[in-house]
Amino acid sequence: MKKTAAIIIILILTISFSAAAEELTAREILGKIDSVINAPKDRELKAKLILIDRQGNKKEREIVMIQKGEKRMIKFLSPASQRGIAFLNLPGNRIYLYLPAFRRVRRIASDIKNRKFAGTDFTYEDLGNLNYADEYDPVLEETTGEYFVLELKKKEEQKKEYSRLKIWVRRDNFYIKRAEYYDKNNRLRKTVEWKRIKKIGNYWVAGEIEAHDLKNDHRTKIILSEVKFDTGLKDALFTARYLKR
Amino acid sequence: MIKSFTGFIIRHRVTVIIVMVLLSLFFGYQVTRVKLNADFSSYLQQNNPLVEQFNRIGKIFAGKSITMVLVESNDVFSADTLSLLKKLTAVYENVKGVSYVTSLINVLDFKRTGQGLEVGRLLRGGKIPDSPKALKRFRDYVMSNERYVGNLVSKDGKAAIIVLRLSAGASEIKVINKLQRITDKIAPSGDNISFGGMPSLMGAMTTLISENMRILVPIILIIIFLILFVSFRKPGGVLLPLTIVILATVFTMGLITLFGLTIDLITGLMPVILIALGSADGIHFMKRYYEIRKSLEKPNDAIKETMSEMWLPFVITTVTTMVGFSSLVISQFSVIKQFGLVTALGLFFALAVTFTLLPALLSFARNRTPGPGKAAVKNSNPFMERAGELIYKNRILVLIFAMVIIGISVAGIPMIVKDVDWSLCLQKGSKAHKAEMLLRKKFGGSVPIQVLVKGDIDDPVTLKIMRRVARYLNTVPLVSKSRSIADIISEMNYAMNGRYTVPETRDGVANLLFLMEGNSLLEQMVTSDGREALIQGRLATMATRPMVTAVEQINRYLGELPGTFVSFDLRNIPPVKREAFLRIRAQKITDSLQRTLKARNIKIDSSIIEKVVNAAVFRKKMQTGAYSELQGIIAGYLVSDESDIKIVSASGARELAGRIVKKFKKTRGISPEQIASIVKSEIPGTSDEDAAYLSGSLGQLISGTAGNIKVGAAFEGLKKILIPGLEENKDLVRDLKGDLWEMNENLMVINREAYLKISGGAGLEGTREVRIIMNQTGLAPVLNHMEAALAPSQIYSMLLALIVVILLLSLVQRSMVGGLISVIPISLTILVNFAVMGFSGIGLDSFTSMIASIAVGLGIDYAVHFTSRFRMELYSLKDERLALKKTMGTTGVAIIINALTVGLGFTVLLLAGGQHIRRFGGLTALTMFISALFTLTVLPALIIVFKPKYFKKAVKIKGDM
Repeated sequence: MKKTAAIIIILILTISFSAAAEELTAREILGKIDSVINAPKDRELKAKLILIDRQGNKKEREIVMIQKGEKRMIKFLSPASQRGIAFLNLPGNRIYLYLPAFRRVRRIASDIKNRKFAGTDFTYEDLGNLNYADEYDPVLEETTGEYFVLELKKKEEQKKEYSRLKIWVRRDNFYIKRAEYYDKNNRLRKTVEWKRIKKIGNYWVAGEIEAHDLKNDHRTKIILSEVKFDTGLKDALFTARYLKR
Repeated sequence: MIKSFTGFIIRHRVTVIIVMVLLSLFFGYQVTRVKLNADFSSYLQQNNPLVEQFNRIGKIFAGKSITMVLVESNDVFSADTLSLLKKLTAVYENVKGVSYVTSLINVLDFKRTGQGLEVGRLLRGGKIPDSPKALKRFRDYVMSNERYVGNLVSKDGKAAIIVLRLSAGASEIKVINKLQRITDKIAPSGDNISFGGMPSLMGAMTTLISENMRILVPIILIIIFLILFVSFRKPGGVLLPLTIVILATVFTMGLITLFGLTIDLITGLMPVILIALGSADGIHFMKRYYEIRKSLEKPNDAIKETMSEMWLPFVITTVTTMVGFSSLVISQFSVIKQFGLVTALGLFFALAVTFTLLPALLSFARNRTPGPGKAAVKNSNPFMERAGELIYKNRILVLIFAMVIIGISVAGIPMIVKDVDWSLCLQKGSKAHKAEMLLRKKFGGSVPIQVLVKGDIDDPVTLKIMRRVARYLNTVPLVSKSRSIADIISEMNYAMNGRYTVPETRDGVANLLFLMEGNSLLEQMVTSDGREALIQGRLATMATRPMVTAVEQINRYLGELPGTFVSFDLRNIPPVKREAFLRIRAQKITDSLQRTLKARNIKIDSSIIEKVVNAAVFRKKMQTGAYSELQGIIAGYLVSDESDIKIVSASGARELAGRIVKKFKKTRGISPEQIASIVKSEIPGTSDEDAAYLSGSLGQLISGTAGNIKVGAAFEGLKKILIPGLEENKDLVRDLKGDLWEMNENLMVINREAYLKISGGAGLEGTREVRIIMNQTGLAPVLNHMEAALAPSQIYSMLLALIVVILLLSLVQRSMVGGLISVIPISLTILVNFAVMGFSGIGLDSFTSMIASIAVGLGIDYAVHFTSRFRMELYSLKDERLALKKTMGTTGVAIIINALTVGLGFTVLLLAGGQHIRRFGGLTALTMFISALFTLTVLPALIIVFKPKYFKKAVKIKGDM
């Protein structure tokens, strides 16, 4: 109940504030972004991952993901050789991996979260629910007709692959449209583009996300095929036992 | 005709001079844009199949050359050194042309931690441990891991390397220089950082040559200046030949740039050689010009006279020398080809300048009163005339002397060592040389050994064979650190399941590979389509002979491997035949153990190992205590979070586990179905689905645990026969246990023939055939091939040069005998050159092998000048003794000056950095002196004795004069 109330309040605030959007501070914008991303209570989605290398060779994977708060599980459906491989993310940076060929669940080191997930150009963390305000200090660079352009600097204590981000945020719904990732030498290393942004039920969602690693010239597309929100996922789904199913 | 040409030149002398000045300016500008090339693979003949494969590997595995950056320190595991490594790793990663960087900082590491698995960089999070305790922990972890010791850090912990793979297509010398520059920026005092590996070696050598040239070119110019000054004591005699060589060199260098060619290790020598050679025409011209000038008033007449007399010898000597250099096109090294052709071109320029600029400049000389006609005779050197007299009298003795030399030389030739140590190209005591030696001693060397595997790389059968091959490679002398994706998979399997071996199933392989998805390490080992993979090791030598031995041993081994293997499930084999397969298995396990030990230089009698292995493989029951251990592990699993059915009570779990183990003991194994039925009877109400999940997991757990128990028991047996204390080497234990694990496997991989022999009439039914093609590739076999081709190709190019020269000279002298006689001094010289190499132990390498061809081209000049003058004198003096004396006194002197200039020119190379260039320079210089000596002694003796055709003509026209 509390969370629903919070969401309603946030929605009301969003609507009332958007009229006076120009006066928002960078930090306020970032807060709104986070609340839009984290608005659903839980979600369940199915997606296709398309990995494209330098030569244009494509690899396809299919995954399901369920998420509830900080708990998250990703399971591979295809290709056949990876079917059943699953990750479980629990609060406190506990990450478990299930390899079906060995029928064993193993805890894996948490620093995996800052690395590329399963050959994609997304980090393990990118796929989860981010909380930008906790991790970055924002500066509002520019406000255009459509977007707020923010520069996010990683907070000192945060361990990140990239030290600076530049994001384009839609002014109408606070959904991120584009992000650029810079390394500590200020070189652009990765871009992510959110496409086909639409509203499903009460929530905004991108139908396709494309990441481009500029160093390796490698791309990943995530194409959403199914998404459900607030279905009341049970906690039992986020256990080692269920990971194997 | 030549007189009218010279007349034309003299009439238009101003135009000629202006054109020459303009050309010099144009080409001179080009010289400033000259580019260096040190990419070794481009030094090789590109259409050779081995080179093609080498280049292809470079493309498909993203990078063909490996460079190593060596960082020395009192303690690699100090915060300072680690920070330096970290900084260097980070900057190198961003250098264009570097495809992969591997160091202690970023190498992919798999760690087994209790219930956990860690896949990540060796230095987690890239954070350098900040406390002495944490540093020690890191040190202990790294130093206990064979994957890193001797690979990225030396055994004594005092040196670390950063391994860089250079992208195919990048200019290696540019990348190396860039790396050097950024390294200098990060560590300005950088005494402890040095570069190793073939690209660095080549880079260092090429840079060395271009630097050497800056010193050597002025030195050789000074030497030539001095010789000319002593010989002529006239400004014209000194300056004009010098101008010719400088112009010819500038033109050639300019043209190299204009053609888009580059200066490499060998072409870099061209300026010194061209300056030395190009001066010859000038010297002979000036010598004769000054002779003639004494009797003629006008310089223009003297020029025309000299030209008409000398043009033919000039053309012939230039053409023969060009032939000598051009014959190098037969070489397997494209750089030697280029060197030969470019130098030939330079010689052509020298001739062209001699024919145009020289007359144009000389024509500015003032008229003088001609001296008496006898002045020309006076010009002849009396000492040399006496020498001519002496030779004339003792001609038979001279020929006997020549025979003796032939005899001695022939004895020396078989002693020639065919060995090229590329590291000799580095100056002894230089930083690069030290780095190379250190890499050899502490890191297994810098030359990659590679085996290309074609087949289904995701197939466990292929991977198991690959591991076997990699381990064989490590037993080859001087080869170490051989690894492939199969070893990485084994390592991950160890981290995941505790056994250092390739999983038996495709799914197992695929699951483990999933952990590495997108990791660059994978790209260096397997192609993205999974059809090709690379096994890579290191070779601790750059010398051809041991390299050949290693390459050939590996080729033999690969040649004996069957192309098709048969794999099958042992459980499907009837017990009668199973035993025969188990015997093969025991033998294979023994071999693996033996190899694992041998790679670490531990020698143990095979038969002792075999006994232990046989006992383990044929053992029917586990030892007492093993069953209760198994029960405990199953019970532990049942109460864990991971258990497919939640069992809360510990006693219930023990009870269920007890029943399962009892069944397992009784039937010597247990199937998932049997487990499922026990589960359902023990926990009533269990759904079929839950029971299936649990029995599946337990089946894996039981086979894994029972397997570990069996391996443990076998290892205890092995420990008794091993040297005490050996079990403290954790990696060795891991490897030996991994080898022993094979006895638990259902998958059996065997030669097709061996299978058919045992299965008898049953054929291949129920088996799977797996095709695997393995070939050695990489730099080592390429070098091996090149060096094998060196001797034949050098003999061919020398013979080619000789034949062309004989034909040319026979034609000019209109006498086959004359042609043959003319090449005898140079043939003798080549013999002596080889004999010197044989007796002094100088190896035949790409540099020394060029000498013979060059010597033919150069040395023949003396014979040409000598014969030409002798014929002329014979026609005019009608007396062979007088003609000989006159020739010796005039052209003989010119030949000596010429030999001194060219010879001393090559001697300058003795000052060069690399030993190989010094040897080349020294030997070629020696060849020049010897060749001149033979031309002035053996050649006249031969001419007088054999009297070629022109003798008769000279006598015939005697009456007409």
